[in-house]
Amino acid sequence: MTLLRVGLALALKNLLHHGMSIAGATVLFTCMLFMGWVLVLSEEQSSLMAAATGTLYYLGPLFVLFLNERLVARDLADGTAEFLSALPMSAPLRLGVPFVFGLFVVMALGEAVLLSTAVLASRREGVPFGWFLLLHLQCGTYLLAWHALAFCVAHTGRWRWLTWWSVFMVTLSLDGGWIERPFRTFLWHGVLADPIDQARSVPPWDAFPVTLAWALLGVVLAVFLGTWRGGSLPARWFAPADTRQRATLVLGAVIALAAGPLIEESAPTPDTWSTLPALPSRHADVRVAGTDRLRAIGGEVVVLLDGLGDELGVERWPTVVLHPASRGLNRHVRRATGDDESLVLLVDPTGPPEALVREIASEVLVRQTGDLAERIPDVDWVVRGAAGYLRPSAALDRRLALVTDPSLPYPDLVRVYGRDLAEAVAAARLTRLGSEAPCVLRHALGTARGSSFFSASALRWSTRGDWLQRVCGVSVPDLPPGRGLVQPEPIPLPPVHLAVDGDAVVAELGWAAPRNAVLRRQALDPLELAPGIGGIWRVQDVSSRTRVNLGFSPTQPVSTELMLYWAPIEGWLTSGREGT
Amino acid sequence: MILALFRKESAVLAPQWLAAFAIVGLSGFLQMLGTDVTLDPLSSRVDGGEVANFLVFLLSFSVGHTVVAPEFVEGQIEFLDTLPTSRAVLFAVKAVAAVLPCLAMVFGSFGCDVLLAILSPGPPGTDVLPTLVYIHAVLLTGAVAGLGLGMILSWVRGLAWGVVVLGFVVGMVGGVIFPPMQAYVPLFGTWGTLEFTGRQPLHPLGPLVAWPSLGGLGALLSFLLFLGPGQRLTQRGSWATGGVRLVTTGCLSLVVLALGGLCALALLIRAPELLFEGVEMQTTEHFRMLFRPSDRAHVTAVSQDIEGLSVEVGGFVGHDGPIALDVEFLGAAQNHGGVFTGGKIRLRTDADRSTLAHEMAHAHAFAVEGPAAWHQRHHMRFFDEGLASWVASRVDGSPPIPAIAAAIHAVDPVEFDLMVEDARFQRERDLAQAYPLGEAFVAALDADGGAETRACVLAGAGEVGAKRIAGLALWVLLADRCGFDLDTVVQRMESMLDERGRDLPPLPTLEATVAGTDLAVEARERGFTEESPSPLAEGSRSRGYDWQLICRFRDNSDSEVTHYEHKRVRDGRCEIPLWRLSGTTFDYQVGFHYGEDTVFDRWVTAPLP
Repeated sequence: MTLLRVGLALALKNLLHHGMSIAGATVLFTCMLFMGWVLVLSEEQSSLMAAATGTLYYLGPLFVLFLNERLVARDLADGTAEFLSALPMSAPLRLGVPFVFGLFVVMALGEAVLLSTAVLASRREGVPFGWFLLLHLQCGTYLLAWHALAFCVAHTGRWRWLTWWSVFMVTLSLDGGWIERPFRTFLWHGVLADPIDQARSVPPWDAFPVTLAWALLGVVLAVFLGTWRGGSLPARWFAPADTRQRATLVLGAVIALAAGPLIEESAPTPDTWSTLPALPSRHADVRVAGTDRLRAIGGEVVVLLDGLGDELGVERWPTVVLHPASRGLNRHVRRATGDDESLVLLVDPTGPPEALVREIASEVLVRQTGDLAERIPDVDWVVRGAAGYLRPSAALDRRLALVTDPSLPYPDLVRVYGRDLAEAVAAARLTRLGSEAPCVLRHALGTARGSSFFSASALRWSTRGDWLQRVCGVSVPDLPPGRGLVQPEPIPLPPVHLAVDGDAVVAELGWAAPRNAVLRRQALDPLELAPGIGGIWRVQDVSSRTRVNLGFSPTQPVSTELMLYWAPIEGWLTSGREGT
Repeated sequence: MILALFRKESAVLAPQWLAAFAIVGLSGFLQMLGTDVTLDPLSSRVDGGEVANFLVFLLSFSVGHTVVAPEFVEGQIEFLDTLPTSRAVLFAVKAVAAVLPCLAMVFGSFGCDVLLAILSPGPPGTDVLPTLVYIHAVLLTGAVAGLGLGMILSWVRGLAWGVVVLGFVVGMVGGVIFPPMQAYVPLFGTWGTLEFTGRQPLHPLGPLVAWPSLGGLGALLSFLLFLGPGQRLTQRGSWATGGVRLVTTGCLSLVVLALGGLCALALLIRAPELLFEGVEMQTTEHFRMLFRPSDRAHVTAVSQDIEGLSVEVGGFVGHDGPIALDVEFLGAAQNHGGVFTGGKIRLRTDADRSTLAHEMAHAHAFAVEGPAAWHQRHHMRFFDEGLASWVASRVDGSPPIPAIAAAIHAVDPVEFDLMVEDARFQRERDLAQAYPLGEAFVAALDADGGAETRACVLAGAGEVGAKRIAGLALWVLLADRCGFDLDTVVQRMESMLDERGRDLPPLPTLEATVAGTDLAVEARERGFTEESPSPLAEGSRSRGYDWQLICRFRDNSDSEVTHYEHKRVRDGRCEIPLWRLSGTTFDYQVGFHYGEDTVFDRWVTAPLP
């Protein structure tokens, strides 16, 4: 009886001491609930109860933190706790009463929110009793866990905000790479983390034990902190902090802030393609989705990469996923980036198999350099030419014959003759190097193993200046100019000239484009001067056209080229790339 | 004497020095972990400019907050006053000691970046030094602003951090209402965001001038306070502390109360309609229908058919079992006929049989698919929505391939790899296209086993559950599991779309250019060239068809769909909503109304005029 009387007296003290503040916070909370109601009603969301759970989920924690700041931290900081400890009452009672008082306030608030919302909701939707009960369970458990943890952390004095800050910075950084949806699976938010409609049909029963465990942890730790050596820890942590202690807090906060990205960056990348079977290989990881024809092509790629791996000592080539795409568009092979930045190639399996194998292998080799090859011209031609060097063909010879100035630097070759013809030149250069070709390949492909900073740095440094001479004692070989004579003769493509016509950019062709010619155009990101959203080339059939409105304003940087697929070279002729 | 004072101040600031080193070191290390820096040594500096700027601001604020007013709070000023030196000199020593860790962070970062640029140099011919100098000049503005503001706000002690938080809240809210304001908000805005055309910076000058000026003013005021008046400010219960507390908590509370009051008023206006009209209920064997009394006749008619409809829909989906649900004829979200939420179906009050069939198809699909319907939503949306639309068309007797799907395909050929990745679909095209294109996919899949295959696909997705899997990998898995060739189905879908496209009226080709503060949109009839132009004026008739053109705009590819700004094309132009755009670029998309739907071309990024 005495215990009850003392407990009630303590509760009354809390009510008198903090009642006005709690009432103020409740008014603010009610205002936020009104806003939630209005939001849900104005958006005609499926259930008004979403306003109740949403308000409790997002703002409930703020209310709970404020409440415990008043009930625990304020009492400890102002010396009220010290006064109470001098009174004839046990430590568990001193600790238990504010906990229970706070819990009562929090639960009453939760109940008021749920009940009032349900009354209004029942006029616009069905609120079955079973679901209403489930919502009570979810919200009650959630608020209990928050209250227990907030009660515990409130005892940590000057460390309390740093504790919350660190917990959330670390948790946010765990999301994705380390833990899938930590707020749903790992933290105490799980019971209320799913959208309300989702939880209605599939109640989050698995989250209840987790949330309750957190609540229990909070209570146990609070008891420990509040009673260990007569509550000496909170007393020490609530003593006024000097400048250095405050600064230490700042340091802790900054470190927690910086630790987040560190944890995030070091998270393992999930293999989202693991369900696709890999083709048997010693060094390659080629995964094929789809047709037998594509599997056969993938098999050829494996043979090529395995051979090259043996020769160069490369243990593992980057993973490549091949997926059939029925429309070749302007290329038979194009990249489609997955959500994990994997190398995914969309392949038109109806394309010439030899050309497909070369293109696929070429993409793998570029990825081997962490895509750095494209930035280092004297590595780019080696990597792009490697597949052609290893798999020579008559089509490549025909391509080479069309290049009238093979001495151009590789980026200019690509710009003037297009990628297909430039690759033929690169392959011919490697062939011309003869016995030194493996040295060049080994250096270009073996130095950079993946896209890490150190491997990229090693590649950059080892390929600076005249690295061919320095490393392998050779120089870029000269090739005789192609005579341009190929049987049958290629169809000449008109040159493309970009001009401004009023508010628009137009491509003017030197003469009427041949049948089946396509114009590739690409809007560049105005800031990066590089391919924009998705890096999409828009392809347009321009048969017989002499002028094409590109649909871009003069201020928009664009890149464009006229292309024609020509079967004898198993590739594309191009007018040369033009850009603004 | 001065040296001793400087040593004392430096010792006080030791944690900030440590924090500065930790930030610089960690930041450099993080750059090495990332892969972008291997391609461009400046990439992470440019992309993460706002974070770096915020960190510098925060640390400098902490330095400023530590170094001045605490002397008064902790009573050390009385001791310092006994020393043979003036307060002005004391302040100068403090200022120098405070500036150093801030400079150390900026210059440390600069040194770190130079080192990275040496280790992983950019493409030949590029000189990163001018850009690095510019980036760190921006960081320096963050340091000056943070330091000055920290010094002046230190006089209100711990409340200073509350003021910072309030400032952020005001800035964020202001930025939402008036996006150009975002340029002045650190971290969440673009003060620290670095944007370039090539290597040419495009940074708004306003924040670079305004913030350091504010910081300088703060430092000057702090100096004046330090000379004497500050003593009264730091006393317990001083008017300054009380005033700031009133401003921070009071203003915030006032705003919330005002908003709450407005919402209560809105509810009072709206609630009578809700409270007095009420809801009635009818039940069948498996369904409980809720409706307004005024819709009783409509719902009674539906209730006689609903059990049969459920069986029919279940048959199309491939789910034989019954489903028991609440069906609410009580209103749906804007632009929606209804919604299946997982636990119930909610429909417009006048929803027809086809809409009910659509939502019921979702319910039957959910019964097979389970929670994976949410977990794999971003890979399965086109199929789930397509299946529901296809079932509704079967119930309705509509053609299996909707004309809108053929129109979308004619304007921009369908790409399956995009359809299975919602985020990319939204970034590059239009997520709403998932519905008609998905319907075409389901129609194409129908030849491969009918309802059994559809149920197999749903069950297969259900088995995958919440596992992280690439969209294409998921669909290859489902195709293998259910015994169809994915590529063949996609080819068939394309053929069906091409076939359906032959019945379409000649669609316009849209060309848009930024002209001043407008987007000039020109529509040409597909198939006509500049040599034989057939321009279609907006609203004009082409072979009996009206084309209403529309533009829409967004801040960037990450913008929420609900924040897209739609504009009708009038006189061949639509105004660019500059007041809704922040930064130096924006995205636009042009399209034309086709029936009740809109066909949009791809998004294009353009410089803000």
